[in-house]
Amino acid sequence: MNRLRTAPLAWVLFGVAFVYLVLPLIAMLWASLTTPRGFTLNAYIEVFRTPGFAEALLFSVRSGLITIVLSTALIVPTAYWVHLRLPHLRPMIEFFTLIPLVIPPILLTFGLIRFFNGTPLTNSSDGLYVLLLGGYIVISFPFFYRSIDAGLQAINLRVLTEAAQSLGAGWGTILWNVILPNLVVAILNGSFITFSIVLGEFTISSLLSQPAFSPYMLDLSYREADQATALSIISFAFTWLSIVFISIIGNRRAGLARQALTR
Amino acid sequence: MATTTTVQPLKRKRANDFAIPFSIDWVGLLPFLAFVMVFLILPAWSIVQRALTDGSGAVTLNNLLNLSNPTIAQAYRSTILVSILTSISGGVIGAGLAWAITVGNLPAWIRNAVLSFSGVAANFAGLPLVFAFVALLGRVGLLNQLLRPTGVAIDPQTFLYGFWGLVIVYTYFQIPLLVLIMVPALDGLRREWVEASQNLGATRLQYWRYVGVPILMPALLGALALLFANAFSTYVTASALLGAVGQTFAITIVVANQFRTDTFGDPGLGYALAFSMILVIAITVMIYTYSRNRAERWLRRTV
Amino acid sequence: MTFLTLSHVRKEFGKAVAVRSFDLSIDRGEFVAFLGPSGCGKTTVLRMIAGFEQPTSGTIELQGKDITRVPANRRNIGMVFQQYALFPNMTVTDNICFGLKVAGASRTDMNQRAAEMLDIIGMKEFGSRFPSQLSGGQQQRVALARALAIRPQVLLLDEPLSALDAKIRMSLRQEIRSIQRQLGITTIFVTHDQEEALSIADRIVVMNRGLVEQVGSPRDIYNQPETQFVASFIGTLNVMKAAVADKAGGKVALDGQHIQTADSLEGLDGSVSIALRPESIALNPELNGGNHLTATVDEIYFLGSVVRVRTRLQEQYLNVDTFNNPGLVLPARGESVTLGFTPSAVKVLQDHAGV
Repeated sequence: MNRLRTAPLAWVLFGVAFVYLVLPLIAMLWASLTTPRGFTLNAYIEVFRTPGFAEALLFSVRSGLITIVLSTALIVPTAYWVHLRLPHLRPMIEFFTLIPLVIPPILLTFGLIRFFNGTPLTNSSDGLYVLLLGGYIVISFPFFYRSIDAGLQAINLRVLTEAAQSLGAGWGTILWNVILPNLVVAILNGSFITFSIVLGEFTISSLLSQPAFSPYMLDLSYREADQATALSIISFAFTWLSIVFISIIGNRRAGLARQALTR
Repeated sequence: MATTTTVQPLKRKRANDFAIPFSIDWVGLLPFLAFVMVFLILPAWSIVQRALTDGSGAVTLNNLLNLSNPTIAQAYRSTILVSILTSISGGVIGAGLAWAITVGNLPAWIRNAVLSFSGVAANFAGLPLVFAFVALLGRVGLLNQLLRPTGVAIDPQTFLYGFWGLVIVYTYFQIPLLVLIMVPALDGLRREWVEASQNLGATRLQYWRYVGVPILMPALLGALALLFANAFSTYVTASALLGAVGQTFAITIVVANQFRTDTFGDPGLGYALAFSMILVIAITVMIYTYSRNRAERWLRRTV
Repeated sequence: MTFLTLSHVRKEFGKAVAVRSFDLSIDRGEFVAFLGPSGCGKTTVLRMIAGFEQPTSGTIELQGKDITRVPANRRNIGMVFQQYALFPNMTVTDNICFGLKVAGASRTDMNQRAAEMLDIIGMKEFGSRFPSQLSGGQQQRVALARALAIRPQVLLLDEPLSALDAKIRMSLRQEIRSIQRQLGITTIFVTHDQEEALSIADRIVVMNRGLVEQVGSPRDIYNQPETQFVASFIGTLNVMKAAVADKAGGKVALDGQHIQTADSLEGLDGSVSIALRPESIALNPELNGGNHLTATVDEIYFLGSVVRVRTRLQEQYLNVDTFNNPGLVLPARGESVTLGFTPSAVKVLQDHAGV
């Protein structure tokens, strides 16, 4: 059918929001590029060379990837199982995904420290790392679960599973060859959100004294303020571009999937 | 209509298959439940437990009563006020933006850009956000540099490093959060309802008053509740922005300080604070879920 | 002066032409059906009458007044949508009264009208239910009541029954027709289901690709299709290719066998399309004048009250319908049969309406 015209008011409201949301970013960009002596890209170059940067980044990237793997291994089979066998329990699981919202990271960390007090988990640095990963999974799994859940809804799980079973496939084959490929985009989306949460996470890392990226950034801001600002811009741009990239892939695959399922 | 006819029979089939609530299928949930227990439920419970007991383990309400400490009360008042204000400010600007990209019919590329940006910006809270606003509103920030020729200056003490600083900075991530929650609800406003109302003689305003806003209301209230909880539980942003003086304005900073350095000289107090926070947030989240269920109930189609 | 007149109405969406040139005059109280396949433009014309689309050119007049530019919410034209479009946040009563509420009617007037409407659609006890608690058929009846409550000058229905089960469809369309008769409202009913259109309309407008193929009563449309499109769209007409054999005498050759038509073949040459209704053909009749064809039985379909025998000539197929009378003896597959029909049962067709 025909496209409706854009209401003029829409442009106004968009403009207002645009100013509020973009101005601080522009300011941050400006701050990272200017010194008393004029424009320079110095901060962007130096930030990669500053000692401590590589270690902190590596630490968080590694943690992010481990978190993604653990989350996938935990959430995907669970979501699949609930969709297939226990659909009446979906509300209960959704309730669980709301709890991390109610227990903000700061309270969660104190709870973890208290609960595991005296166990090896709080006594050794490796133990603390395990707690950190646990914390990361807890704060990111709601988003991850929602992504997988939406993906499962979209692919009409029951039909695919039954079709595969009628053709003689076992559970492993079904999960690996049938379900997983169709969930790639949802998993990517979920992984992506998880990764950016882990990278940007400050509270748990700093309270557990772990050398993560965000505490490093805070420290950096005391020493080299414009580098810290440059770093923020880089991570924001990187995150946004990746989301756009994934959604483009997502739309293409979703289009193909929809065609296949409705033919 | 095709979708409703395929979903409904499935639901009924499942209900018949499991007459017993607990079946062997629950085993499949064990890993997940175990994890959630160990890393979420039990730690949360230990907070509650310690809030309601004293050092020796006996149950007591003392910890909670000690919350009436004036510093704490002040921080609570301030945090609640900030949360309410930013729910409204984020709500209004966010609602305008959400409306513009859905019903307002902005081009598709703008809508997609806004949605993906919102996904990032909603999580932007924390250090980078503080850097950004310091760069904007600080003493040598962008705005002050631009305003120098006019002689007007923005005082960072009022607008940044205090109560209003929190409001201004929090609003930044409240806006995209509201957009993300309300866009699906706005998309759910079917064009036929507008046409049907026009057909029956209603003006645009009357449509919104009698149909559009009432339908959106549950989702909107739920969203506002969520925004409140979001602002209430923010820690890093407040801490990075306000530093030591933050104690007066954000309850999260009070909690953190209490745990780390026992500023009040009373170990149990930290847990009481944490417990009270959990209560407040839990109530708001319940409001949110209730609203969302209400909204879904209306918008379900045929029986 | 007719009640509703559309003159040279044309609608373009960018480069696509949805409606080429639509002319129609409707009398007060008439029940007109717009019939055609998806994309033929029937819904577009309806929406232009309602005011949701603006014609690219042409005019629409209601009771002598030009309403082409009048905004949709001031036309006093009621519409029933395919997906009901009931307001989910309001009860049935509030939905029905909506048109009155926005016009500023008093509470008493609204209650009275609502009660009246609920009575007409036979849902008196449903006043305080919400749409999500109603079945599809019930929702559609409420939608009808809502449209009628404002006492519109014209009632438009956009494929109102497509989303419903077959059984409900049939009973509801009878209800719609009887309510329409009772209130005497001029009505336009859009559908792609020819059985629907044939059974309840006073007149049918058959459309294809933005053009009107034929306008006429259900009997005329069915018995005298004027174009090939109408013939193949309506009913289960046999449409076949034949060669002109004897222009003056009106004979054509159908797969090598000659048959007599009642139409003149003046101006036609070479190959023509002819239409033959399945129920006008008799199997193995007594030989007494008329046309006779020899054919082989291909397949027999049992359709309830009708038995359809599919026969084959040389290359083309012919369907023959007989009533499922007790004692009916059917030929076997592969058997050779004689088909008999009068010359007046053969209709020579034009190609479908040109651009």
